[in-house]
Amino acid sequence: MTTYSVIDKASGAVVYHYDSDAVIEWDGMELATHDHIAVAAPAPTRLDGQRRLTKLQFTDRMGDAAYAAVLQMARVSPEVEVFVDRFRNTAPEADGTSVDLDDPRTVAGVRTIGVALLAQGLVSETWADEVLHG
Amino acid sequence: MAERYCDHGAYGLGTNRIGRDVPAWGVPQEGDGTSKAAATAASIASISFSSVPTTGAASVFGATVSVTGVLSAANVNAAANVLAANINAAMTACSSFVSPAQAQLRNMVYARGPSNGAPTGTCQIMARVGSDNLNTATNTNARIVHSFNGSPTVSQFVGGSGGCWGWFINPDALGVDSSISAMNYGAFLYLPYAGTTPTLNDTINVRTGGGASKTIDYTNTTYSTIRHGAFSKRMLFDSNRIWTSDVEDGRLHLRLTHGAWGQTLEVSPSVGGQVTLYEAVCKGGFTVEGLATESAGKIRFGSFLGSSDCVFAYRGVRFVDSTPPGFCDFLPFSSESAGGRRAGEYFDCDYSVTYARTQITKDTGGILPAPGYAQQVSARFIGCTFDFNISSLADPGPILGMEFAGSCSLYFTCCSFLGYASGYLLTSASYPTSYESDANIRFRVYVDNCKGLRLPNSYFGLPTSRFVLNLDDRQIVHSAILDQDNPGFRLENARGVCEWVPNDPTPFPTAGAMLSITGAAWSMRLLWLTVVPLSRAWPFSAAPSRTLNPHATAARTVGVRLFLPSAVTAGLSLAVMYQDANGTPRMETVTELQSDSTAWEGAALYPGFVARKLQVVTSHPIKQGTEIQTLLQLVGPPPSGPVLQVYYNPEPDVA
Repeated sequence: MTTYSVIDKASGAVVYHYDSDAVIEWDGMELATHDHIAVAAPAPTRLDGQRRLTKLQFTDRMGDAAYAAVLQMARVSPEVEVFVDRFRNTAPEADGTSVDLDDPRTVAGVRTIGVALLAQGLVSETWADEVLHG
Repeated sequence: MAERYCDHGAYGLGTNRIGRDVPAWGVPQEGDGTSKAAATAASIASISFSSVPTTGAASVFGATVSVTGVLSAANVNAAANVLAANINAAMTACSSFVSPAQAQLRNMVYARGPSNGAPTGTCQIMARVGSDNLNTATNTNARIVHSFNGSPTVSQFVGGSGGCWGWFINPDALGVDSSISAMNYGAFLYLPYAGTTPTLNDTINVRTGGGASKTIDYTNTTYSTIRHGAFSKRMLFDSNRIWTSDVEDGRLHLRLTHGAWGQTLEVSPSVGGQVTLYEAVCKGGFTVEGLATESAGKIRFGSFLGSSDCVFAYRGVRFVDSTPPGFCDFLPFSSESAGGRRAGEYFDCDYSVTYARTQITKDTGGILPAPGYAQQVSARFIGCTFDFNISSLADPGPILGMEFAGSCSLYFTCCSFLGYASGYLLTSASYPTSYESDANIRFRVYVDNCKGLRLPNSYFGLPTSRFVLNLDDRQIVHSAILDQDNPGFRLENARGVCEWVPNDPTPFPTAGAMLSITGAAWSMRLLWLTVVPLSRAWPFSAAPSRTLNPHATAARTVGVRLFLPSAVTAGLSLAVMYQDANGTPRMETVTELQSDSTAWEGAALYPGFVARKLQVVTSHPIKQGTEIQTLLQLVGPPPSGPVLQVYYNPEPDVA
């Protein structure tokens, strides 16, 4: 999902912001008269109270580099392998989510992995917090 | 410098809950914090179909709405009904330009179609939050946009007006399908759904009563972390200054009950990179109580989870630890991640334990700076009361757990420590040996004019290393000279110790100095250690003494009387600091010990000790009535081994 700013070409005024996968020519905000500029959306600090994520949401939060490193680490670290194995085998709930960010196993796993990734210089000190808390 | 307002329950607590209940049409379920009264009018918009659209999309408040079932619906009423249903189910986030919290659309608005009272072919949308900022004329982002064919008629949001926030914190779930978890909504910790984000210059006035006091009960049964949003704020718990008809001693009482064995409930009212201030007009106007009902269950409050720096302060806040067998950590604490710094200040706050216990130990609510990594904690307690409710006559253990592994600065000024007749020990009697090799462990502890604390009988004997030779890195100052119950003084760092221990097994010799309140004779003692190689450039400095020049402006002789082993002939220095007749600061030093005829009281207990003095004849006149400061220093190794004692009269002589 991308956030777009809608700018009136005539006045230069920003008249609307919307989230969408693609530009939409809203009635009265057509491309002939308005620019739809993709902007980086401010990161929400929480997912509106959402503490459960789908696996895809969770791995997106981890980031590609971190996730790849975790898979690599799972080959040599039994602890990480257990984490990955449990992650893979967790069945989704009815709402599609599989990861509980408040589950102590999730918290412990993310923090443990965060320390290892930090040591490798792959993530910042705030990585684990960002994964767990947005 | 805006005034904001929160009146917990103003819109209903069991009914009319934001998102969770269907609102009365046009009646807000929440406000934007802009006035002390509840919001009464919601912004309303509509989209009317004259024909069924077959193509297009829709967005409300910046959140995309599904048009499944709308396009090619059976008729215009069906299109409007389905659109309303889709809006009421939309989990997409509103634009931050409309909702600072980026609330889910379904929790921000409520929509209805013709089947629920809207006109033919029309989908009406009301904001659940009353706010002028949700009127399109005020906020261009607060609108409906669409790309439907058939040219439906859109009437943008109008009519909304602001009011107080209605939730301090939600103890139960809110939102459509309970999508807002308990303790995840409210002015206490989170960004608002509408209006603007508070700043540190704003005042969030919180109603503590409404007549009587309010209690918010939250019961938790799992491991939980509840964390403040990423913004700074100043929160003022009002009594009847804003809500003038309320009682003047109203209290907003947040009661946290945690019933998970071995698990932790962590509530973090501060956040990295931000400043959070909590002030109560009436002492206890904000009371936080923790009830940990399972053994090994723990409640942490006042802490911060994360690795970023944070600053927080409390004034007039009461912390209550109730109900064993679990325990509460209310005071400065940080548990997770490396590198963060915490700076907290507690002014006129209370901490009390409501059940009798026998020990103050780690994780049972001592004043416990416990950074797990190389963190820095700085906390200042001014005029606070601590009641640990110790029932045992045995020593309950020190207040400072000395469990920390990082760096901390702790200041206690004019605090009272209650609940244990013999007085509390500030620290353990011996220095943890595990710290000796850990260069990261640095601390400064200052205790001044506190009641109920007592000195450990002997000094720590702080070790040092090349990393911590700086005086302030490991230093404890405990000043209770005028305390009638547990008088004493000790300044200790790695270079030496300066102390007054009135209950010392061997009474201190004295030279006439008397305490102004009790009339007791007293003196100070230097312990001449050998941990650090002392020199003139690297001395141990005793606590400075100050007096006023009672004489006319002229050059004066300023001295300090000493009582020390006769073998000591060098290694001490006296610095005299004053202003001359022109107001120019002057400092002069002397190291030559002189003989002295003072008859020290109790000298018989100190065989081999003799009276000496260090004195300076000033090179410049000392202005009458100005302050003279004397600083006694150890500036070389002791002549006869470690822990040599030097006594001095704390009242300098000016002649």
